[in-house]
Amino acid sequence: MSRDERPLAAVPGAVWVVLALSLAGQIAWQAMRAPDAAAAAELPPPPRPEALHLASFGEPEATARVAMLYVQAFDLRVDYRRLVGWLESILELDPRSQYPLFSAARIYAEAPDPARSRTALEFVYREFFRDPERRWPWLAHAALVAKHCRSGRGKWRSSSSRT
Amino acid sequence: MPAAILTRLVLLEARRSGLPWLAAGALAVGLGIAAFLSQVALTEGRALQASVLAAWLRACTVFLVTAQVASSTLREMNDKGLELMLSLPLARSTHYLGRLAGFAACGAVLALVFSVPLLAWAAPAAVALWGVSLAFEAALVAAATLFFSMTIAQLVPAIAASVGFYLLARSMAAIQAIAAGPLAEPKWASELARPSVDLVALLLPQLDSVTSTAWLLYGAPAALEYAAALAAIALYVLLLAAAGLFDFYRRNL
Repeated sequence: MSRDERPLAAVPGAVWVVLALSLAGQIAWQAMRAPDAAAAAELPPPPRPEALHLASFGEPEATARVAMLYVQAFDLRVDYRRLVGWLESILELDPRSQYPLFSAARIYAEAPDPARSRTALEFVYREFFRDPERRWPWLAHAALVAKHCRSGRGKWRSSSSRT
Repeated sequence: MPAAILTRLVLLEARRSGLPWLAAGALAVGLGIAAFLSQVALTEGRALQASVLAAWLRACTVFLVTAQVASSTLREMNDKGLELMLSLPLARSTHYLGRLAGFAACGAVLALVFSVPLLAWAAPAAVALWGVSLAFEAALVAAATLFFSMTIAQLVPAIAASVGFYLLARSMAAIQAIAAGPLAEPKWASELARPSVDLVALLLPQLDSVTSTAWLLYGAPAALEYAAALAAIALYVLLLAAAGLFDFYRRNL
């Protein structure tokens, strides 16, 4: 206790009681509140790149990465056309970012559903031609995924531990 | 009644300061932005105007209340007005709660003034619910800023703490969703992050469920949901007032 502080006994009992009750009430209220289940929710339609640019307030690099964190909060059962739309908009926002291509090639392409996997791999393939110097590692990885992970009957030999 | 006199003094100070002019300026800028955007919109022009104006006015209310509460409180402390008030035969709780009521009333007036223009774009019932919710939100911001101003006793840190608290509370639901994402690496840091974020969320108000622009565009919320959201805000105002009083009683002034 410093010179500027009075002892705890100086605080009236009513203030103690109200503080304790309101704190307990706040914690109980928030604990009862059901958390937002983003993983089970539907991924909203992707925003246009211009809209993301506007929302970034001149910080496209940071906004692109925060948007990727938002997208990855949804599980792999999302609609992949929407997912790819999000990845395209985010890549448009920060074309030098590797995050959307990494996610597409290393996470979303390893989905057990061949159609979804193909959607993710095609996204990597399309985006490669816009910046081959920077994006070739992801195309190389996508080629490996496409060649080695699939059997001839359209099924995965091994499913990712992430899915 | 001393608390009512203090409340009236706070309102009088707000009226004589530049707050009315700032509010009028914020309203004019918001209307200008909305009018400009409606000219370039291809569709949903009215919805665009209502949503942009509502978001702008909500942010302005929070900023104006924060700045007014922090500057008024710290001016009184620096001018030794607080010591003068405490020399009067008034309980500290009367002094603190009277001022808090004044700031909350100031926020309610701002909410009323900012709600009226929205009647041009949304149904009166939806605007009324939005305005009441904004008044509750302003009261919470006033209680938080009064708490930080009294404890920190410096203008810029008090405003920064209040704004930081508000932004954290507004974005907490999104932070929780990101922390609970299914693709997070099973490292000890991410394992620690999830309960830590949940713990912080327990101590914050749920500002993401009040003063929603969706009410203006798509109709009023369910009555129970609305009442629960406002009750949670009222509970948090009580908590902040109790915490502020606790600190104020321990001050050796």
